[in-house]
Amino acid sequence: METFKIEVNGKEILVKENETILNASIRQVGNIFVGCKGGACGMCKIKITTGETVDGIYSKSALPDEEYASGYRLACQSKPTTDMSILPIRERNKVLR
Amino acid sequence: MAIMRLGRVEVRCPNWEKSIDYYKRVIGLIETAREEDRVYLKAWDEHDHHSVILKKADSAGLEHLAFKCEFASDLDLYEEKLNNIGIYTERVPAGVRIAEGEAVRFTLPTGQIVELYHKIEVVGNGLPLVNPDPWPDGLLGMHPTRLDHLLIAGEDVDGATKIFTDIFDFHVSEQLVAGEKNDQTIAKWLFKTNTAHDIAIIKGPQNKLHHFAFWLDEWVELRNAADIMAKNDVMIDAGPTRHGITRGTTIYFFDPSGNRNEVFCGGYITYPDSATITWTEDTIGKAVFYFERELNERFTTVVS
Repeated sequence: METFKIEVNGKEILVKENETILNASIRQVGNIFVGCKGGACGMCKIKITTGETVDGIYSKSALPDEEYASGYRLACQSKPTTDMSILPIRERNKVLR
Repeated sequence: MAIMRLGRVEVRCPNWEKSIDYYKRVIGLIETAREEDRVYLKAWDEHDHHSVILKKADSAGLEHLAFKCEFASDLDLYEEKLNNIGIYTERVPAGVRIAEGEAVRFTLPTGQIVELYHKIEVVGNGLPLVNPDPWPDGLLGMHPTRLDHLLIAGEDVDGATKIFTDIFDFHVSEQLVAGEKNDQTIAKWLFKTNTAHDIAIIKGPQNKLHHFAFWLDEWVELRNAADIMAKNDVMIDAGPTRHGITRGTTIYFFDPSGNRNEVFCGGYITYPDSATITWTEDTIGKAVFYFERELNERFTTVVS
């Protein structure tokens, strides 16, 4: 099974074949914010520094075409096809009391 | 003259095929009609043709919400009242969507499109009206009895609340406030039926949907619903737990297009003379999630 290395904010995580970047981040505490996991809220948005992805269905209000073209992705819908380096736009969820 | 209940929500679904399958098989709604870009669904115990419309779209979110009025003449009366306070209305002719009669349409100060209607085709709840059993055979998934309420977000919560209380005779069951004098509104819970809320409005980004909720009759059904979510890899946001506000029990979760759903059970009943309960910002954790006494950032920031 093929795996890809992804550097998230300087930390390396491994993404299994057919796994989303967000699920790999959850498994290995990659600290990407977990939102709706349905491609609607945009909270798991990442910016690609290096690497390529294939992407599932997402809401264009969360990731407009121009942002996609500029290298932004939604980690919940994005699967790597190469090793990558990425930056999360928002960090892990905080707790409010 | 009166609004009777929240009659329908129309929800945009970019992840089209998965969303249709989820609302039918996982939630357990019943499909009553289909067009190329819309699927019409009802919960099993509802008699009207549909309460949820899925709309094929590029972006998730709420297309419109609608209240059912008791009389056809209510549309004229509410239209006049809205126009008198400067709110523009338009008529949606019968037949624009399947099974629906004419509606009055306007926009809330929080940005959402609201429709008021009286006529809709009645299809029944699958049970006879004489000597019925308690539920029909063949129910799937969580099979809630009905659409219950929704929570919308926007900038002018007080302005939207005023329309509901002054024009539509809703009452405020509960409110969440902030500020040293507790005079800044975070959210309001409003009712027209005798449940704790038919609609709630929270301060947030304009014209957004926080969630819409389905009713389950008993607490144990929430556990079954959670099992069904786990079995189907549904993204759970929070719960099963209890709200301080409304005292209802709950699970929040997301559909495949990223719209937040809730299954809601219990809570107190209300009357027009029920007093408004106030929660202050320092108790926000307990007010929303009574057992955990803390909110996660996802619940407060994720909308569609």
